[in-house]
Amino acid sequence: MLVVRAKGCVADNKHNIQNKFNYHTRRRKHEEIDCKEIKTISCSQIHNTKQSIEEIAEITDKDLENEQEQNVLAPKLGKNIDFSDYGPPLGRTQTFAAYVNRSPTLQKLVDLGVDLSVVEKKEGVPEKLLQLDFDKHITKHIQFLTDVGVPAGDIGLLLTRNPAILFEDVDILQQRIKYLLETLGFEFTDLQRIICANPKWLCTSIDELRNRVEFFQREFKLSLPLFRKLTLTYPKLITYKLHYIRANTFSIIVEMGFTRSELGSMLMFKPRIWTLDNKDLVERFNFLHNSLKIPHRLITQQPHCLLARLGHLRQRHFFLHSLGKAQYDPALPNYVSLLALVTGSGAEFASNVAGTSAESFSNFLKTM
Amino acid sequence: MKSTRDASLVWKHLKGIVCLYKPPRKSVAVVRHTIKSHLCRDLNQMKVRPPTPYVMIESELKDLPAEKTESKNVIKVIPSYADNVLVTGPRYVTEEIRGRMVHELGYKSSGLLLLGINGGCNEVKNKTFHQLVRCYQVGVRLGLETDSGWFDEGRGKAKASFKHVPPHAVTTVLASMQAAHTKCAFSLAGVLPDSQEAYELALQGTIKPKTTGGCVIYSARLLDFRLPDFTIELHTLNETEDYFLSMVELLGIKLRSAATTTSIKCVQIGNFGVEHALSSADWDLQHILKNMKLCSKLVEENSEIVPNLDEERLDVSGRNIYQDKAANN
Repeated sequence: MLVVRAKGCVADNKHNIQNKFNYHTRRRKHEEIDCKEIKTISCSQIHNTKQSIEEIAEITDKDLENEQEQNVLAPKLGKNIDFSDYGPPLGRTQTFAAYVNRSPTLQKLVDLGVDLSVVEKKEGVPEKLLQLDFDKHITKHIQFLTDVGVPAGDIGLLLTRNPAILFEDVDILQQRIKYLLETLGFEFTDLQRIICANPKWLCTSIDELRNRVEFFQREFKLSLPLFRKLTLTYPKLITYKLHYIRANTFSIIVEMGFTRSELGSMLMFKPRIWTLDNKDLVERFNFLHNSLKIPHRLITQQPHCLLARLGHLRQRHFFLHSLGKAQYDPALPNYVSLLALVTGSGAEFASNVAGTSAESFSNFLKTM
Repeated sequence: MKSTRDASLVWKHLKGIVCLYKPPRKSVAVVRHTIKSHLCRDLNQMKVRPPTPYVMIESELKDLPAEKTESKNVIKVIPSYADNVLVTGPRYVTEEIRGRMVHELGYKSSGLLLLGINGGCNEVKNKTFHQLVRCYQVGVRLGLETDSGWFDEGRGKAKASFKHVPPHAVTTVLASMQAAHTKCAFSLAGVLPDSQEAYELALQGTIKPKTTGGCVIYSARLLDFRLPDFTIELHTLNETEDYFLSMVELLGIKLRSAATTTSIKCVQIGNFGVEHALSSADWDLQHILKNMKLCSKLVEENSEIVPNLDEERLDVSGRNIYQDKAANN
C-alpha cells in the first residue's frame, strides 16, 4: 500500500504522474521506488488519485453497470410493494407516545401492562428500550420471568419498576438465580416473592449480593437461615442503601437505647423500619417514648407504631386523650394496643378503637 | 342529589373556593399539594376519557400474487396506543390543577384556610377577600421564654414565676394593646386620625389597612384562664405567625413574667367558621365538591366581599353571581 502522509508538503511531481497512470502496477512500482522518494502527497493529489481509480474501475468493471440499472429508487416491476408504512423519520421526542403507534415492540409492552409513562422518565432507559425488538430480545426475558414463577399479571408491573432487566443478558440472570438457589439455599418457590417484591434484585450483581449477605450477617449477627427469613420478610432491605441501614441501626442502639436482642426481634418482625428516614424514625420514637411514656418492651413487641406517620400518631393519641381512653399499659383496664392505634383508616379507628363515629373524629381534628 | 361517574363532568364543576382546616406541623404548600393529589387520585379512579381512535390503513398487497397490481387496502379503526393511559400517564395530574390561598398560615399554626381551586383562583385575587377580618385563638403558657417563641421548641431564654398574675392583669394589657392598634389603624389606612376622611372611614365600619404591610388588631380578649395556661382571642388583619409569637413574648414581659405560645388557631375568616371547614380526614373529591357549593353560598351571603366587576364569577348554572349581587344592592 501507498504510504501517505498528508502534510501538505510539496511532492515530487514526476513521481505523482507516474503513479496516476500506473495504478494497476502500483504495488510493483512502490516496491521499486526508493523509500526516500515517496515521502508525502498533498490532499488534493490524493483526491486526484482516487478519481483516476474510479475512472479505471468504470471502464474495466462491467458488472458495476448492471448493478447501476437496478436503482434502489426505481419501481420494481412485477413486484407489489406496500408503501403505506413509508414516511419521514421520527424526530426527537420526549415521550414514547410519538413512537408507540409505529412500534410493535412498544405496543406489546403496553399490552403486557408496562407503564411507559413511568419508564420513559428513567435515565438512559428510553434510548435502550427503543433499540430492542420484542421477538428477538424481550420474549426470552419474559420466558425467563415466567419460568422463575412470576405470575403473568405481575410482569407488567415488574418491568415498569425495573425495565433494566430487559438490558441484562438472560444467562447472567440465570447465574444470579443459580446463586440464590445453590449458594444461599433459597427454595424455588421463594424466588417469586423475592423478585416480585424487589424487582431490582435481578439487576444486582453476584459480587454485590455477596457483599450484602456478608454485611447483614456481620452487622446483625445473622445465620444463613435467619438471613433467608429476613430476605423473605422484606426483600427490599437487602439491596437498600447501606447508608440508611447503618444510620438507623446506630439510632436504634445508641440514640433510642434498645438492646441488641430487642433490635434483632424488631429486625425480623418489621425490617421496613430500617428503610425509614433517620430523622422521622427518631421523631416518632421520641413522641412514643418520651411523650406517651411507652416503654421499650412494648415498642419491641409492636414495632408497627414506628411505621406510622407522626402526624397520624399525634391526631389519634390526642383524640383518645380527649375521650379519656389513652391508656397504653397492658396491665391496666381499657388497654389500647399500639397496633390498634396505628391500623386502619381514620373512620375505622374512630369506630373500632375510640368507640365513636367518624364525624366526631373529624370534628376533633378541627380543634387541634 | 345526582351522582355521576364521569370524570370530565366533575372536572368542569371543579372550580371555586374550599374552606380547609389546616392541621399543625404541616406547611401550607404541603396542604395545597395534598389537596391536589387527592383530587387527581379520585378523578383518575372515575370513568376517564377513553383513548382517541387511530385510523390504520392496512395493505394486503404482500399476500397477493405478483400478477395482480390492483391495490386492496383495509381501513381499521383501533384505540390509539399513543393516547393509552399507560403511555400518556394518568389523565389528571397535579400540575394541571391550580390552587391559590387567600392568606398564609405558619408551619405550626392551624386553622382555616381558604383555597381557590382552578377557576376559584381568579376569585381569590379579589382584594376584599384578603380584607375579611380573621379571628385567632392563641394559647399562651406562662413561666418560660424560649428563643423560638414556641413552648416545645428552641432554647429557654428566661424562667419566671406566674402565680402573681391575675386574669384582670391580662385583660388590662390586652386592652392597652388593642387601643394602640386602633390608633395605628388610621395611619395604615392612609388617613390622619383627626381628619374628616377618618371620620367618614370610621362611619363605614372596620378601618382596613390599605396595604398588606402592618398588622392591625381590632379586638383582643381573654377567653379562658387556667394558670399557667390561658387563651386569648384576637381579631386581626395582615397578621403573621412571627407577629403573634413576638406579641406573646411582649405580653409575658408586661405581665412581669415570661410567656411562650402553645398554639395558634385561625377560627374565623369573615363569615367562614370552623363548622364550614374540612378536616384533614375529609380531603377527598366528594367532600371538596360539597364544600365548594357551601363556600359559594357563603360568599354570596357575605356583604363585605365586594365584587370585582371586571372579573366574572359564574356559579354552577352559569349565572354571574357578582352581577346579581350588585343588582340586588
